[in-house]
Amino acid sequence: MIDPYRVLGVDLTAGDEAIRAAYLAAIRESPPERDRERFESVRTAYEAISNHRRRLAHELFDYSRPTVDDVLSAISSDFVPQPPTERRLLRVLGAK
Amino acid sequence: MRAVTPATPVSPEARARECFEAGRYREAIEFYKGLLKQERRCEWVAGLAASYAGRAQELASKGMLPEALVVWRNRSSLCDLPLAEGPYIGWLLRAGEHHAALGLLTTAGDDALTTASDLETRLAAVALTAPDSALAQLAADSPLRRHRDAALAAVAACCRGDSAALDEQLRAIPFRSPYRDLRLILKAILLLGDDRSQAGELIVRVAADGPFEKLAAVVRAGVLPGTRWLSALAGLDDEGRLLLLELKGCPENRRSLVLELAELAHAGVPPAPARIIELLLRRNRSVPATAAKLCRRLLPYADKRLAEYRNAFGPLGAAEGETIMALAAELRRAPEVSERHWLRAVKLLVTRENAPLPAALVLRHLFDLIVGDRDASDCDRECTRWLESSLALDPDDRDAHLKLIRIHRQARDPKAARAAMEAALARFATDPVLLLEAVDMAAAGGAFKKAVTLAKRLLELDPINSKVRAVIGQAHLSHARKQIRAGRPDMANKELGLAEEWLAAATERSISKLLRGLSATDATATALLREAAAELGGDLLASFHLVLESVRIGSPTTVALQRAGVSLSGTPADREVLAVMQAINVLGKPDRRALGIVLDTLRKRLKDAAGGAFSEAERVSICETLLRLDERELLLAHANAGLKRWPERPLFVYLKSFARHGPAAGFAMSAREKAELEHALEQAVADGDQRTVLRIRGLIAPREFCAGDDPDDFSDLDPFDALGESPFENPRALLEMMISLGNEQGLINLAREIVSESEFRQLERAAGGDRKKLARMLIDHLLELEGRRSDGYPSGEAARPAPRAPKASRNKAPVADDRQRGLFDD
Repeated sequence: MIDPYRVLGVDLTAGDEAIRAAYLAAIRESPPERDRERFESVRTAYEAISNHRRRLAHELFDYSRPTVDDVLSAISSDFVPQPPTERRLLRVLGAK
Repeated sequence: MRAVTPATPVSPEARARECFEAGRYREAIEFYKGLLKQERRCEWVAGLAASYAGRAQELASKGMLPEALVVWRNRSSLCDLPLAEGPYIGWLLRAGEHHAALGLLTTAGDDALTTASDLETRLAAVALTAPDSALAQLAADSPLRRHRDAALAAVAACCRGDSAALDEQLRAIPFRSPYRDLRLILKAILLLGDDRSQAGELIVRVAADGPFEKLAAVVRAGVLPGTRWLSALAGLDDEGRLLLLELKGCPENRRSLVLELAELAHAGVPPAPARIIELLLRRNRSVPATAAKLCRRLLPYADKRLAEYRNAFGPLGAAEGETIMALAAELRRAPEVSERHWLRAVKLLVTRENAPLPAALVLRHLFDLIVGDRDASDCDRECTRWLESSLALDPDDRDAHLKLIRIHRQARDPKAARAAMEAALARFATDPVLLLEAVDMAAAGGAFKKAVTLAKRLLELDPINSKVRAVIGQAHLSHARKQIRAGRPDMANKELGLAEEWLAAATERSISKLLRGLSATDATATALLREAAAELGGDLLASFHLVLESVRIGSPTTVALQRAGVSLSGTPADREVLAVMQAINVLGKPDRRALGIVLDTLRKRLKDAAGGAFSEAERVSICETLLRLDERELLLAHANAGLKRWPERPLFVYLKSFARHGPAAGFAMSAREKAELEHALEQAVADGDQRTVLRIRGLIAPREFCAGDDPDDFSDLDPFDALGESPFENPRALLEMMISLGNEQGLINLAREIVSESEFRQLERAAGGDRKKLARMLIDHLLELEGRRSDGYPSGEAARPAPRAPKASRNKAPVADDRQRGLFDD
């Protein structure tokens, strides 16, 4: 399962216009001559969720196998990057 | 009895080397020590040093750091090597011997200044983390002491997230300071959250194996995109992992989950859905809603854990439960069970407000699952009703309308097709695809005027659509034929006039002229007929069209030929034969009967034409057309001519055998012919001509394609059975060969017949348009299917039920007839 929402970088509640804008931005960033693989995945993702009917069909019938990316994305959706604690950083450098 | 060979004495040096190479370092050390007592040779000193290093590494890897340090010091003293090299400083740090580490600086003696500076740099991390008391042994002007406070303050500022304070402290660390790497690393850490690419640019400037390498490695992993940081996480030590998770913002109670996932990512294998479900259910309290959603999506892989899911993440709706069970049944390849659950889901969905769309989508999915791309006329009425119901719930799906129309057309139900088309056009009045279908439907039903009206509507939307222009022209031509047949030449001429306005191709315009000639019998008409025949370019082509059109308008063919002055004798030109074949290929099914009459008239000339000097591609094209028409007499003539020109070409051998004996050639061929065909098979395999390989195999042993012993049991057709008989023991090798020969499309077509439509679509999506990738994925899938089949699971084809026979209507229910009862009883 390559999560199309993650590929396009849109929220699960995004509408047609937001999804199309994200799709256009993604293909501008990765045109086929530069990164064919990424372009294909973006296109496939857009085709899967481009309109309400497709989004619903994706939600109802998609049971493709998850990738590690999918799982990581699901379990880390609320991660907020933060500075390290001093103790941890110095321990990495060898402090006891 | 074997003679015992005396053992060759092994020298102590060889034994020392042997022990070292076998990793028996302690023994190696003893041997080298013994040797050095005899003589201090350089190679023996080097051997001793390597053995000590090996032993020290061995001890350190077991966590015996003090012992490892002792061995390293022995190495230094006995082999005259510097102490502060290799992993020694790292071990000192890990063992907490900061004093000893910094003591290296004072005992470095009178080495060159550069060496002292190098050592200082290497000890920068030690100096940073060492207790103040350990620093006292260093000279007061040592950079390690002078810049240490600024470095520690910078670390503190970084950990507070205070960018301004960090910049200020870093300014106090000079460019040549042993702490210089820290300047880049700490700045990169602060940028990790907001600007990963800039952080990446900074961290690449830090040399590998610097004094702060452990910290740099964490930052290097942190800047990696996607899941790559997760794979790198597995390569860090425990402290490094925890720091990276802290930087990423991973809560403490989810660290073990991320680390388990990192192990999966590091292994490089896609995670099994059941394993993911297990991981998420076990940690349901610590994961966010998105993880619960993923778990819910994967439930079809573990439908038995529905209750656990409900306990962990909350209740599921009844319709949702049915959906999961239906998808689980699809995965188990149990379409009947799946159908039951989908229909229950539909019932539950339609009772809900605002849920007609999901219900409609489920019905369409069910139709695709059960019918797919098969001819819907093979299936019962219920399948069509699913589509109709889906359109009642959601009439805004153009493709579903189109599908329904085509199903009715396939089922030869024009009334239902018209009704479906009207419903569709009411919603999508200006849809070009629908309008084109409507034009085609009207023309096929003989409603030429309607076809033209619709086509003109379509042309208004798409004025340069050449296909529509041709359709309008053909509709007028067809209408003209209808008028000629009805004895209305004036009306026919009017239609032909209209047709000529739209027809662009010269042949089509000549056919229009030919129809004008056939519409009347006067001298002008005959002149037109002759003119048209001349324009068509040769007697064979002219006679083909003349006979065809005569049959279409219901007039005698011989009269038409006489009037046009077309002769049926002589050998036709090669280009004429090819043009006739091309014309045959574009004829539709309704013209089959007319074509039979045409071929009866032209058979002799076409047979005589077999001696022509065609190219190989032309000859193959002619033979394929004749094969499709089952014109075996003509096919034999052309296949023989092909064989004469290109002896032993496998395709022509096959065509000759087929023409001679038909599809049951396997039973009718002589031993010599069979041997010839088998030789052609070998040649086709060598040439990589998969199509001919399969064709010849089918001809030689048609029963090999049957699974059962019953000769009528063709329903169990399984291509793998055929593959199993192939000279290749390994089906993967055979399928891979198709790719290596550039025949991905052939493989995809072959697989498409075996793999269910939904699976095929999934794989197609996953391949992302890459045909080679799709072909390889299909090979894996086919072999998996085959594996399951041999394990007793149903095959991919079996996932889709056999076409459901139309249910017998109540009126036509079979009457119990027991008149023959007991006929075969004793």
